[in-house]
Amino acid sequence: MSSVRRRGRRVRISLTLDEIAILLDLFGQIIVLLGHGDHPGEHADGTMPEPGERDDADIDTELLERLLDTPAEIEPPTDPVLRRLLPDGYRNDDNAAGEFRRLTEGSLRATKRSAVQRVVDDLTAAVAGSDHDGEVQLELKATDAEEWLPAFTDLRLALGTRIGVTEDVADELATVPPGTARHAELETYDWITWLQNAIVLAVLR
Amino acid sequence: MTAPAIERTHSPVPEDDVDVERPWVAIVWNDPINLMTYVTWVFQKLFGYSKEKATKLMLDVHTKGRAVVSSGSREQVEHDVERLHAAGLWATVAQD
Repeated sequence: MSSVRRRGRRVRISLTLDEIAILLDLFGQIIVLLGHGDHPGEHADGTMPEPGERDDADIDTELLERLLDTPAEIEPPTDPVLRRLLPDGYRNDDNAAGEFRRLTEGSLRATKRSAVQRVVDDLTAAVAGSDHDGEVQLELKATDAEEWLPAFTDLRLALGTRIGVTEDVADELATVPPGTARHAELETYDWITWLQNAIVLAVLR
Repeated sequence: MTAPAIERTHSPVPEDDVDVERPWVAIVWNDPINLMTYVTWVFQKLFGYSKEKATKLMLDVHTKGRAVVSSGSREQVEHDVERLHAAGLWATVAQD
């Protein structure tokens, strides 16, 4: 069973290998969803550009593009999960929202991806340093544990949007029959919610 | 009790006449996923607000559906909204 404790300036997180495997799988999906590379030219649906769309061998051109060029336009994502991870910056003003997205979406994707990658790296290192048997202990500086929080938020935003949760998610979990697919997905969401909240409380202490 | 800055029914001048004066604001909207503890922490961390102020803003978002969390020039507020998006909050820029 997972547990989170504050010890002085450190946060000690205990997870089972199975729990870490679930987190690594889900975080890996978020990284794929947010796309590769840090130029916002990737497709909004997370797919890779077709061959020839970008010449990876031509480094100088790519660098120049990144330095000098922002894309002429980026369509808002159609996938509701990406739409929640990369929301509009303006309401009821498509022009301003489009301009905001054009200027910020690429760096927002990169920021989110590197935050998630950091958690993946920490979890992977903890598994490698464990005896591969049962519980894995992570001991993070409280300031490093803070860095985990946006990544856990994005994971819950993605999962919660995908499975369709409301503020009454706890009530729903209590009424859905165990053994159903709905119960399993709500239980996973509920566990990650508990874990993130425990880390927030440990950081705040 | 007065409502927060988004209330402008008692404005003494027509809004169109004071366009230049109206500050830009960052609005955070309620969503069913973000944790109350986390949202409070984000407001403290990003804006340096006291725990009391951050908690009040979080409760405004939770109970009223939205709250103005910062104001300033359009550029400053857009930067704030970028940081709020990076933190996973649902935020938009508006002119008050």
